[in-house]
This record gives sequence, structure tokens and C-alpha cells, in this order.
Amino acid sequence: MARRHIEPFVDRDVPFKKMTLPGFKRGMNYKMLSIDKDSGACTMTVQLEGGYKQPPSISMSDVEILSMKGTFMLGDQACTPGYYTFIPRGVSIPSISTARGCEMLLMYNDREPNMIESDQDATGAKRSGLVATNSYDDMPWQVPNLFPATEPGCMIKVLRMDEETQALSFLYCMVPGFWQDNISFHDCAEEAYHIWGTSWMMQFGNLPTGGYFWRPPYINHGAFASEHGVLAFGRTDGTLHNHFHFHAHTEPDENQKKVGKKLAKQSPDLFRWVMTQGHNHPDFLHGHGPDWVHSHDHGGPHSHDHEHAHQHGHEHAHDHGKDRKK
Amino acid sequence: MATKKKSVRKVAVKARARAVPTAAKFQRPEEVEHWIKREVAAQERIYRGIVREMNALNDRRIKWVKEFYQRLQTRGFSVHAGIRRKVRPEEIPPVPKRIRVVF
Repeated sequence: MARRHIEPFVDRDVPFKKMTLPGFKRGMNYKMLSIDKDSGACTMTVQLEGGYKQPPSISMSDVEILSMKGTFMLGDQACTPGYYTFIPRGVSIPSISTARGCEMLLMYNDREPNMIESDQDATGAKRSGLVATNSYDDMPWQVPNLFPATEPGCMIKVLRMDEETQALSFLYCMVPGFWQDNISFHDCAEEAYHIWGTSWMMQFGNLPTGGYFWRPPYINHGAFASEHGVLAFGRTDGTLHNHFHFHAHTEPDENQKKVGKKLAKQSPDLFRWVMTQGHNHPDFLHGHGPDWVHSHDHGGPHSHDHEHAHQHGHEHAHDHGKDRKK
Repeated sequence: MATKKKSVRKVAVKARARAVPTAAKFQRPEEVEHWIKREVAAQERIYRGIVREMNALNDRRIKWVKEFYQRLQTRGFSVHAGIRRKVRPEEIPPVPKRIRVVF
């Protein structure tokens, strides 16, 4: 597991620290919310002090920013609370400055925070993947179109969906009096930060403003409630599917087995096809299948981020890496 | 003005020399390695603190679970969106003494 299960954590309980990594300018402070022990990929609450300036730059990691307090300038663009941007690795962004200071969520998805002065994209950078939106002003709230879905009163604004992994970055809210009586888990890791408001979960109690979690796959959460409502930012590292049940005592390995069993029931043809490829190491995962199922790009950084073993009539296993990348 | 143009050009040259990395592993400077180690150690301390706090919450959690199991039989289980199903008493699992919530 690359990132620890951090839940719940409240960033208001800890002070800001000065950012000392090379490339970053004086006046940038951070609170670490979660970090991948191998890659250094991390999520931070960041405070830029009034007068902070950094030149045009690139990062060797995909970066996500959500503005939460105050205003910063990204070139000529005034980034007020709710401004969200996804910057693919190697894509140059204009200078950043703030006159009076600001706070944001800052996420490095592939490696530790890094910044290289540059006003041009790096070779191979995918500028077409750049996302920038003012999520508060320019996007309507939507009812989640997941099946099964949360109770009415939980709404979502999808800020970005990764075309290959279906990983999501989104805002969500719960209306005052929201209540959902089930226990949920997902096949993906899930992360959230409370911009405003308190919600309650049966496992973890209250999560107030500034509350955060990084939750690996298959971990029970819920029932849910919020007395006065919540505004939050969330992310997943894969397809978000709600597995609802009401067994409060189950642990992740049991939940994962349940999903395997469900897959056999809900998609029997797919399940049978995957399980009857001769061994449990389907060719399409490793580039031997047709192009339309082998969709990851060998031109950029990637890894086979899963542990697996296969049998060839003798005992051996190999390891293609660790958990997911974020 | 001339100085400004020169500095921009210098920066651009720096950018052209770089490419998006093609390997998952990177050579990091020592100070960056140290920073990551410090942050990971801090995260471990936070993790252990969370485990302690969540263990301490166990009795209240068990009470919440009992209330939850009660509501499943009266208000119902949230199946999908606004759809609820009342759970029969024989479907209700036994209430455990401890529930592990952090992994």
C-alpha cells in the first residue's frame, strides 16, 4: 500500500510548515495530508503568503490545484475559491502570485512536489489534458448517476475524469439533514477534504471543516449523516462504484471477495472469459491483445501498478509494483 | 528590457532540454529523499495516533451500530437513491464487540 489509511485527519489541528524543497519560492507553507512513501506523491493544504511569486514552471508530476481561500493570479487569470486546475506533467503554467495570500489544496499525483522554471512545455507533455474551471461559478450541481446511488441530497460536480482509469476529481455536497443508512465501500482508493461543514460516519465519527481522509479500497464507511450540510472536494484513483451492504464488522479482504462473487453474478460472461484465459494472467494487460483493450501509453511514465502472480505448472510469482499511483 | 528577453530565452532553453520522464523511478537529490523520509515518518506518527483514537471510539461505535441495525428494521436500508428496504430481524448480523476501522 503506497499511502497509509489516513482517516480521519483534521488539518486545523496542525500548523503550517515552510516548504523547503528545491525550486519553490519563499512564502509557501504546507500541511501534509497524505504521502506515498515510495513515490513521494502527496496531497497538501498549501498557504501562499501575501506577496508570494513564482515564475512560469513545469512539474514532472501531474498536479491538481483547488483554490479554497483568497485569490491568486495564474498569469492573467484570477483564481478565486473554487478554481480548479489539472496540469499534466511537463505542461508549463504561467507565473503564480498572490497579493494578499491564499490557501489551496495542492496534489502531486506521480512524485514528490517539484517545480522547474520554464515557460515552455517539456517534450511529450500532453497539453490537451489541461483542465481549468471555476467550479463554484461555472458548474451546476448534479445528482450522481451511479448505480446504486447515494440518498437524495448528496450532489456532485465532476471536475475531471481520467479517460483511461475513470479516476475522478469532484466537488460534492450534502444538504442539511442528509442521512444514508447503508455501509459503502469501493474498488478504488478515495480521498476527500471538507472545505466547509461536518459530516458523520458510523466508523469514524464527525469529520469537521478541514477534515480529510485517504482511504484505500474496500474499507467500510457509512452510515452517513450531516446535520448542517457539507461542501467537500473528493478524488478516486479508479472507477467509483458503490458497494452497499449492512454488515458493520467486515474487513477489506472479505469485501474484496464479495465483489469477486458479485462480478461472477452480475457480469458472468466477462467473469468466465477472464477466468478461462488458460491462466490468471490475461494477455491484454501486457500488450499482447488488440489495441482497443491495451490502452495505456508507453510514451509517458507508467507502471503496472498491481501485485499478481500466475501459474505455469511451477511455483513462481512476480511483482509489477505497488498500489495505484496517486 | 534586453535583460528580460535574455532571461526568458535562458529559461526556454532549460525547458527544451527536458522531457517528460519515461521511467517510473527517478534519481532524487539527497535533500529531497530526506524530505520524503521526514514526511513519511510524520505520516506514520499521525497514522498511529488515528489508530489509537479510533480504538478509543469503539464503545460509541458499537452503540451507533446497534442504532443503525434498529433503523434498518424501521426506516430501512438505503438500496439506491431514495429506494429503501426494511430489513427483517433475522437478516440483522450479530453486533460485534470490536470493529476495526483503520487498516
